[in-house]
Amino acid sequence: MAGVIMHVVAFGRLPQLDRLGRPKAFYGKRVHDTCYRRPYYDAGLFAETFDDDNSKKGYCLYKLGCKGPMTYNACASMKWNNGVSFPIQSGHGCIGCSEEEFWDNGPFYERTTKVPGFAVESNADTVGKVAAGVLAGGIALHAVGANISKRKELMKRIKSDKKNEQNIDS
Amino acid sequence: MANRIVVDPITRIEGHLRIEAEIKDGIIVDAFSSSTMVRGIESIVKGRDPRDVWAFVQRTCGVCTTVHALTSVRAVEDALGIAIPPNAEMVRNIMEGALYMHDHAVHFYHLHALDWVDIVNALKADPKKTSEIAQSISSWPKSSPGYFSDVQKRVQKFVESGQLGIFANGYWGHSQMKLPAEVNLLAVAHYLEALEWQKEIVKVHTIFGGKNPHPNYLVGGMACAINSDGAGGLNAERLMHVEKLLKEGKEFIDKVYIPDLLAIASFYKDWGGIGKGIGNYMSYGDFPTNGYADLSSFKFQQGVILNNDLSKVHDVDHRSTEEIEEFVNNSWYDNYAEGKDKGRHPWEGETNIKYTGPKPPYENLNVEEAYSFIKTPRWKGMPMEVGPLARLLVGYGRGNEEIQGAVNGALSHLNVPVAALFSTLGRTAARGIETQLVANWTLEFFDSLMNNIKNGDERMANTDSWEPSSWPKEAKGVGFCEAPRGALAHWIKIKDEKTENYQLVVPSTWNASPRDPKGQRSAYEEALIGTPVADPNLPLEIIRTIHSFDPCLACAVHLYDEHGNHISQVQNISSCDS
Repeated sequence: MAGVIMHVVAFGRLPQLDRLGRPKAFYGKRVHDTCYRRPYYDAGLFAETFDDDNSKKGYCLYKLGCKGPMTYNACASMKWNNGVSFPIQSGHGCIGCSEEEFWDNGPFYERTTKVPGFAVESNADTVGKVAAGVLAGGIALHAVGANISKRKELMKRIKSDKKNEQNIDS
Repeated sequence: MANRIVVDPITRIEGHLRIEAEIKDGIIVDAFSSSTMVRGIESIVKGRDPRDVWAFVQRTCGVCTTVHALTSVRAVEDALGIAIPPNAEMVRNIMEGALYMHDHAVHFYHLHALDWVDIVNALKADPKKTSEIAQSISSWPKSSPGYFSDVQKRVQKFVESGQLGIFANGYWGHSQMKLPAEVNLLAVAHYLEALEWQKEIVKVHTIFGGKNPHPNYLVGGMACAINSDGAGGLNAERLMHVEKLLKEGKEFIDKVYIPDLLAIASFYKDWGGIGKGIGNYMSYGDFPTNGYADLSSFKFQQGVILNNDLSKVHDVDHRSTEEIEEFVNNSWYDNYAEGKDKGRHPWEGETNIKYTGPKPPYENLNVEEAYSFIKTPRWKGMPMEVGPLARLLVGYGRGNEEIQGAVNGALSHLNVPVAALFSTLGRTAARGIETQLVANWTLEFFDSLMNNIKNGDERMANTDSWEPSSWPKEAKGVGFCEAPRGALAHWIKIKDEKTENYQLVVPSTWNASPRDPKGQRSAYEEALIGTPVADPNLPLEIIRTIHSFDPCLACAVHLYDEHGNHISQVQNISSCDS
């Protein structure tokens, strides 16, 4: 709301809106695309349950129902309350509250979800890929093979970081 | 062609509490309290995953932005027998403590102060004298004559431009405004400071819950995993940020809110004898320190006081069908199958809306029949007042030395007797006193959290019963808390992994409800009886008493003479809705 007023004051015109009437300046990108946990998603590293080791490491919350992949908002880039945090940073998946009829877009903690704009209901493992591919306008599907190789790469980096840390400590 | 901007609704905090008061010889002789908007959240959550319900019911209110989520996860945990880790308990306590600080300070400065403070009169103040007063009551640094002179100039600009803005809807120059100009200026300065301050304390919610309003909660604990040696969860940086916010919050409470409260109250001691209310007070208790199941560990104790008798405190049992019941005899709902005058325990409660009131726009409600969307809750058939005053009186009656010390300290400072607590002034003072207590406790909760982590306990959620397949076929639970506005509880029934029934009985339901089948008034209605009204066209006194409850609904006050003639209708800025 404040952003819209600022826009009018700054530019002397109303902001452009998307098809749901949301200002594009704030709702133009998916939470998923701006999320700092996105590399874990790409690498296939997920929190499996709340408070497990993976969630403590800050891995992707997609399997715990995060609606970031189908939610257009600026939470991950602007963050909340002057940039202090946003839901995913504080360990809870996005509930998709800026999407049309979000309360009926599937339970908050289930991956299987009805993605707005699709006629068919997708299952857990395809939703993210389909959403990424179609909603973002043709970004390539995440090939399983690519994920595995990225995961290997990431794990390698984590290991080497640990080694570096040990070297520094000793 | 001109662009048209439509903002609708301009605010969600306006217009759905309605008071109709009857006046005779300048004194209120009867009053009716009505909510003209329906909540209906209970119907929305039926059939949903019980783990999701907190997010729906949390949106009952944007101001007390955590309490419905907290109460909901507690209800589900109670139904499923889930005990949360100590860290999660402390994080929930800290978040609730931060809410108290925010909510009570905002109520005092932004929703209630203008009932007592004359903004326009502050222009007549001598800033040097205001500075002397400020420095005599507090060590808060912003207290120089130059500072108050600048504030005065800002207000002067507002007034001269004819755009009082946030201050437009006041009772400036009313004969019942008693503060000297210098104290008015002090209060105006702190009104503006509190606006800035309140943006900070809510960041505690952002760190633990990801955002404010409406931070995230989780059945079984909290989602903000701890990782003391990593960047992926709560670490030293995040936790020290919380500590800084809590300490700054406490400083503002101690050095601004409390000194201002006592200074302003000292000019309004007569309000210690006005707005007495029903004399029955109830607290559910809150801030557990050894698990939610151990009531003896609660910082605020549970109990009921009857007829202002502090020597006896009765226990409350949320599960007993004999104790808490809701009636709909004067509300816009379908009658229960048992009959119009029967009450129901919330586990068996219904929300079947049936509006029979007048078609808007209307002059007044037909109070001979149903006149509110609020139901009428009773404890053992009796009306109860809930809120800060009820909490402190229950603690006082139970012999809680910390609470007794805080209450007695304020009474002796103001040089008023204990009986002055049962009043409009008492409610407003109790809110400040408990804010100071809670600010201290919140730092204790923070220390407890840090000690746990130091000792190697980094658990934040108990997910043993997370999967619905592990639940019993049927279960029922109750969650309760002390919301800033008073005793709040949710009752849930779970069947086949879904929410079968859900009922909220919120603080303002207790305080603002219509009459029960015995004709007994609830707290708002009763507290107005006997209140003098100096100017029926500007019924400031009604607003003072209703605001002293911190109503969860905005006020539209309507005043009638003894023949039912409409004297005035006053739209009034007010608070939140839960």
